[in-house]
Amino acid sequence: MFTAENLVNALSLGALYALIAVGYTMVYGIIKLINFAHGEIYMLGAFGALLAVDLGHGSANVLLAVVPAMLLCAAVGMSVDWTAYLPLRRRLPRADALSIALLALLGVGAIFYKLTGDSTHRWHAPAAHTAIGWSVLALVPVVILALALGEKAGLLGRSLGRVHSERLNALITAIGMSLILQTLAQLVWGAEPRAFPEAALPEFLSAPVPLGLPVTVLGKELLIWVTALAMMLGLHLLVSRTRMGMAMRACAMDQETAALMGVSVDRVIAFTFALGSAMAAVAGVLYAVKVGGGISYRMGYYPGLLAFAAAVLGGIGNIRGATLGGVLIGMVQGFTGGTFSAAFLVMILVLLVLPRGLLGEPQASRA
Amino acid sequence: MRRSKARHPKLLVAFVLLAAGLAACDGKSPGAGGAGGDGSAEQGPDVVRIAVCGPMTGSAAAFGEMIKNAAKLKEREVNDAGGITVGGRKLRVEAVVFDDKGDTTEAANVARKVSSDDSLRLVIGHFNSTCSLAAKDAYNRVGIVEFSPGSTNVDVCRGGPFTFRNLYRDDFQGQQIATYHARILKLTRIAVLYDNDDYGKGLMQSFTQQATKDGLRIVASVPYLRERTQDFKPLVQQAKDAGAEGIFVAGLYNEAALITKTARNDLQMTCSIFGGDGVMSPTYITNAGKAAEGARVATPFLVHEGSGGPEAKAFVESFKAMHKKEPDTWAALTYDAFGMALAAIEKAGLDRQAIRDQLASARDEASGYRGVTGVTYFDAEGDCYSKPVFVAIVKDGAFVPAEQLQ
Repeated sequence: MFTAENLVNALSLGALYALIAVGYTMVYGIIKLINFAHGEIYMLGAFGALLAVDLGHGSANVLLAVVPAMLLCAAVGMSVDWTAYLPLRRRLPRADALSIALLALLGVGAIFYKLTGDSTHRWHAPAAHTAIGWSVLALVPVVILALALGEKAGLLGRSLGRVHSERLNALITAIGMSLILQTLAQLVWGAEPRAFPEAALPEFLSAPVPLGLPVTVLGKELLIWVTALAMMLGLHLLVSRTRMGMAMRACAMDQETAALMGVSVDRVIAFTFALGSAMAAVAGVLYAVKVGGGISYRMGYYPGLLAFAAAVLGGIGNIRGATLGGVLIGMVQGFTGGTFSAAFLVMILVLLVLPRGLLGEPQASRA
Repeated sequence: MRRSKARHPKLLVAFVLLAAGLAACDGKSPGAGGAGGDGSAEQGPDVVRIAVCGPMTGSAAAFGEMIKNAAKLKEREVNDAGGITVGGRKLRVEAVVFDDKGDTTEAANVARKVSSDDSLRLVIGHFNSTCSLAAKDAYNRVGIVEFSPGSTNVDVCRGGPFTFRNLYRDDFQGQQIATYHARILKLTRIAVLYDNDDYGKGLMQSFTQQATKDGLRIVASVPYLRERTQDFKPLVQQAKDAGAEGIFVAGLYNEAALITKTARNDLQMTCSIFGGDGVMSPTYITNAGKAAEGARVATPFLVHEGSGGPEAKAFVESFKAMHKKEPDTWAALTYDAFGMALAAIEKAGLDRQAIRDQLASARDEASGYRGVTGVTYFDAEGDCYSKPVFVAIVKDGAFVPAEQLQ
């Protein structure tokens, strides 16, 4: 399995996973949230490019279509933050924030569920529903009673408001967002996987590049490497050399102090979402170009999970760690012929030895 | 310490709310997409309701669409002609569509729902072998016919008195494809890429068995996971490294399209590409584009100019008129299965057991049902041996007949 051809493929996969993984890790670094909707942003990137190509009536080039795809995903990423996560971060009375978010989420989810006949395919929904349904039947009267009695005794405020679990709320919201985006994509583009039309793919993508190596490297593979390297370099410069980068680092260290120093925390967070989403969009387009199609509403799930594994493997919150993790996961994928268990096995093994991941910093005492 | 304790109740509350929401969804929605609605209230004695179960969404949705459209066509044709005559009364026909998403869990769930709905007389479906197998027990336990227009796995009808199909089994299909490689294509080194589910594995095994008898060498046998495997380069690379002269794909059209593109465009392989009948969908050609040219697929029937009798011609015309789309093999088989089921109901009445007995009595060409895809009749298990394995080749972006074995 350790052939030069597989190495070429593994490097391409690794570069793509790294591009997705930095999105997970940057958001986690600042707001300590695993943004499970990130895989869906990646999926929307591929669809965005497909849309641009379709609108360009075949004369559009996939490589140009990357730009509108990035813009679309940056916008979607920021909207996800504004509509779903921002209300949870604001200091609304917590009970209100919790219930508004959950109710809105469930309401929208139920509508989509009804519209599409549960097309999400992510969970084995019916089995889960049966199990959950029965346990809820048992719990519902208890909860209602507790809430009804509790309100009179001021218990509602205390039981819901006192407890700290904003992060959990945000996590559940993220899973909901992921389902909503998947279902939306299915409503818009249908369930069938699609491919970029051949007219939109420049010739050189599938042509071997004369690099003088004993192994064939295709144009698209070289393109993936160069793009990923350039974007990683750009990201590094942005984070380490610019004002916005400094603001991001400040927010990652301590949001409240950063705010006191005049950093607009919400704007920095929105920027982080936009940045990560745009990078995921590039990965989505390049992945669809690499494998020759497979653009579907479910395409974000497994790459999203693998990139998440990569981010954790590298030490979540650390951008260089995510890059390293992405390349490693890509290697495992490339050399094992794409078995998922192998990638997660490697992640577990690494975490057993290094619980914070490869480059993870020791957790500060602020937890 | 105090903090971590305090987290607990909130976590519980959150989960309960989420669970309540999920359960509410479950209660409100018709579940697996019963497009025809569940309103058993509207069901009167003047309607014959038939369940049509298949992958309406998910990675085999192109099949589901054809199945649904063919059933709706038959439904309309019959109703426009005044319905079917049962016991001297004219009854309207209703095709109730259920979505199994090509997924075993969903299929079992659909089966439970369908078999407990007394107004449904018979099931056309499921399509994917793996779904038919998952649903089989429920139908046989309750006693309602499961009549598949697409499942080819060997075990689909075995041991179940209520299971039927109107096409060949995979042991026959695999055998014919292997012999085709040896005799017509005259190849020796074959790589098999197979979907790791009941259909793909079964077809791979029967192909491999016959291939060794015919003197072929299986140089690589590579499994993949439908929907999960997206990057086929390492898998096709294995076939290339092994020096394969031909690639046989035992799987469905989406993955086959990716495999074809990878082999032709990325690895510049000029070898033969042959797909099992799961690849037989126009979507294969749409997705693989130019790379699909010259690829061959097996099929129980080919909807094509000049193939089939006048029934086939009429079917193609009316399908195009109603759905503005060319029908494919599976539409034709569904149309026939639906027609055969209605014919059985006209003779046997509305009793589920009587319908089953009537279908099972079609044991030879004379007692069989003559439809678009030829004559359908069964053996004691409900398997059908009257359909050939036909080979089609992609030419100028369409399936046309290739050289045949006979």
